[in-house]
Amino acid sequence: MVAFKEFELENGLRVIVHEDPTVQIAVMNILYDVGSRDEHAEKTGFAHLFEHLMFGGSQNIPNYDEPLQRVGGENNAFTNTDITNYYLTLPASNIETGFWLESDRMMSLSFDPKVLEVQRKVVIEEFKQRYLNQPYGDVWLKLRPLAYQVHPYQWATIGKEISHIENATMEDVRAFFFKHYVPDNAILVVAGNVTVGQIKALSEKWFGPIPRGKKQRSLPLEPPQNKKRFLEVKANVPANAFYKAWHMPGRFHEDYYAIDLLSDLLGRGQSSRLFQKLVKEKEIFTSISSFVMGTLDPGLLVVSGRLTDGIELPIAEEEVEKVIEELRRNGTIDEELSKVKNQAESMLEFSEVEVINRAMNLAFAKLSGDANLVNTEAKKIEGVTAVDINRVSNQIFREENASVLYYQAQKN
Amino acid sequence: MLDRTIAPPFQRSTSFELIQPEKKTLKSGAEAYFVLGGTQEVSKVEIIFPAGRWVEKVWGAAYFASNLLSKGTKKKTSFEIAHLLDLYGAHLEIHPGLDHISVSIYLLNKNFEPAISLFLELLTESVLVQPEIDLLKSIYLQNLKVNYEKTSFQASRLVRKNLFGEGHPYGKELDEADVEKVDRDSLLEHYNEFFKKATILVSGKVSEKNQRIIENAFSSFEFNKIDRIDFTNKDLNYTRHVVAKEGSVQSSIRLAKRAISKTRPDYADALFLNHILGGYFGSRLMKNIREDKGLSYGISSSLHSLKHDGYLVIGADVNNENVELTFDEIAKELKRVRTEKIGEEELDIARNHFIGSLQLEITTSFAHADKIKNMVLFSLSPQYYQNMISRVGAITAEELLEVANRYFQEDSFVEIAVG
Repeated sequence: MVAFKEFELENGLRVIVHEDPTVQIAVMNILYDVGSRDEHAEKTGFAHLFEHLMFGGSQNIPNYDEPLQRVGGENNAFTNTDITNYYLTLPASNIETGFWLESDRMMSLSFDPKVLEVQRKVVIEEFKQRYLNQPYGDVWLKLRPLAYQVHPYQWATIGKEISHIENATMEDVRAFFFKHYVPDNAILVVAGNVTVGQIKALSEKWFGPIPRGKKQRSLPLEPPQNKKRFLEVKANVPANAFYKAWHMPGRFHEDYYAIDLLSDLLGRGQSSRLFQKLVKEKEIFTSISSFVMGTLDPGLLVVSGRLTDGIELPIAEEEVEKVIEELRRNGTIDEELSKVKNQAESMLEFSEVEVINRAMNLAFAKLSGDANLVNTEAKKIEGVTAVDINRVSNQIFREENASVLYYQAQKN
Repeated sequence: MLDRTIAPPFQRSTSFELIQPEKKTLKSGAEAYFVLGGTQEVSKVEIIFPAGRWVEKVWGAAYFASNLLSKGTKKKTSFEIAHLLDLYGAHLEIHPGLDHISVSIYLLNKNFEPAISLFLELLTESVLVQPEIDLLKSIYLQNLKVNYEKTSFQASRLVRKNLFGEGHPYGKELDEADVEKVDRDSLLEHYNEFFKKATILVSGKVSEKNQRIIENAFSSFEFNKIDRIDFTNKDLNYTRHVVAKEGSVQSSIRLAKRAISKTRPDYADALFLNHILGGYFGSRLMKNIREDKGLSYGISSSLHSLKHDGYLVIGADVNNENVELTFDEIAKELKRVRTEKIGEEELDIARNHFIGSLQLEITTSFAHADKIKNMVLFSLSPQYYQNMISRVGAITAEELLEVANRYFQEDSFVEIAVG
């Protein structure tokens, strides 16, 4: 049980406070409701590049990191398709430094051209390091545009191509900032050794004067897929790899938990069906897993695996289909369902051990409209039945709903 | 009107309050440390065996023996084990290291007893069956092939190889031929000989009753000690190694040298200088290589302590054409910490950040247990972290120059580039 209090400032900033007097620290998590799905198709990778710029100094504070380091604090951030999330931890007695830093960069950045120039380069190196200079690193750059033809999930958060990052201008930066980095587009969570009264006063003092924005979002809906899609690529990798993705509903849909458990039954860990059948028993794959992308807009259920030497990709796909077909036809049994529920419960419990994770979970849950989702989630998982699993597996596992990528090893 | 140009006042704290562990010596001599705390109904039990590469008679024995623990016992198949672990909502973490093997189980308290009994069965009744050995070997070889495609993997493998030499356990990295040679007999020998002595760390919200369960379950384990084996270190040639990898868009570079470990009295000095050089986001290397020149997504410098030695690595991934420039800039920064006194402002920030980040690390009983594990395995004083904080709080710019000259000479590093 994560206890919390929440309030909203006049400018629309939503604030959640989670008191935990057992730790000596305080954490501050600011979630901005903007991700790569909000980008223009010709300017992709921007939300993430922007995250880097947020550390390049704000209107009144030339450098973000140093003042925080000076008071013994740490910070980091991440961007995904849906959100950009910034977090810091510091000794609880120095929490006001966090308010000072975060409110100033919400008010206005310094828009220093040198910062943009350097961070463009840094992000390009990140693009290469994580997506190009790794075996299979570009899989998502290929799979996304196959599965999504209309919705912005068709590009990865890092961007479609390096040139989009190279071409980012200061004008783009300003426009993006004043559209998305406004108090009514953010959720602030403060947790740890703090009190609600103290955080209320600090929030009013530092964030209160920031004017609200007027952001509207209208994202195109991905139309239902009615024909199987297929792509084959060849690359200099040591083994063939197989990817298959089916469309599914988004993170806050009522069926999300059933589908999440379905993917666990199939391919989470070594007791899962895919692993037992295809790695252990038949030795078709050397590794295999399935998982859901917990995106806010309708997402994907993915099966991915690497093939044993000498096995052809179409054979591997056939074998995966057999395992799925068996599940569709005969359903699951209670013990198997309890198993994946216990795994999910365990994951939830462990995710709440760290106070920073509790803060992040609260901020993300608030996006659904109800931060208390962090406390009701366990019940929702518990409530999933074998009948639900059967229903969702028949909805999702249809060939016309699938996109398949054969990643062929090309030996040289 | 709020003046946003002025930073709010702050406090400097030097306290570091570790949970006082309760130490118990079990029936056959093993020591168990109970580090209790937390509000979630979860626990962790970590068992450390003196069974790492250091004592291997066949290279790879530690990795394969430990990873086979969950692949079959006298009573259960690997599927039954995987199924039960998942059913209990428990998971295993196995880390075969250079000195020790660590095996941990993360538990939901509601399934504490059956999960611990399964855990004990894995540790004491494994059978290491041939088909599981074959499967694990083929998966290892497959992963090795994938990893060879990564410049960072290749560069990192060259670090210890060059520092300690291939015949030395700290210099050894497993290759295909080693894996092929691993056989059941040598794994059984490793398992039977080295998985009897153990150090036990228990953390989380552990009830009295569950503490008793642990004490009974592990009562047959003996006191953990590594018998002294002497390896000689040849004086190796420290030069630059450049390995070409076709089609790579970046190069992974590493600079490395042997260095002092946690047990030495001037370790805090070296660790803090390393912090200033490349140990955090505000470090010299990060500012120069990333924030000023944009050459890399990240660069860092770190000290690694081993039971019988230690080493220092600086690493970054850069554009192929910037390899020379990066090496030169790193050398410049090494020379600068050795020849120019660090200014008050920079020293102050680094000091507060160093102490603060150490304090921020201990927010869970699991993290407390990790610190206590370090103190136990390296036989450090109970005041170790507090002493380190006091030392960093007091160290002067002159003393940092001395430690830089002692350990950070720019011409004393092996230089590696793969790309």
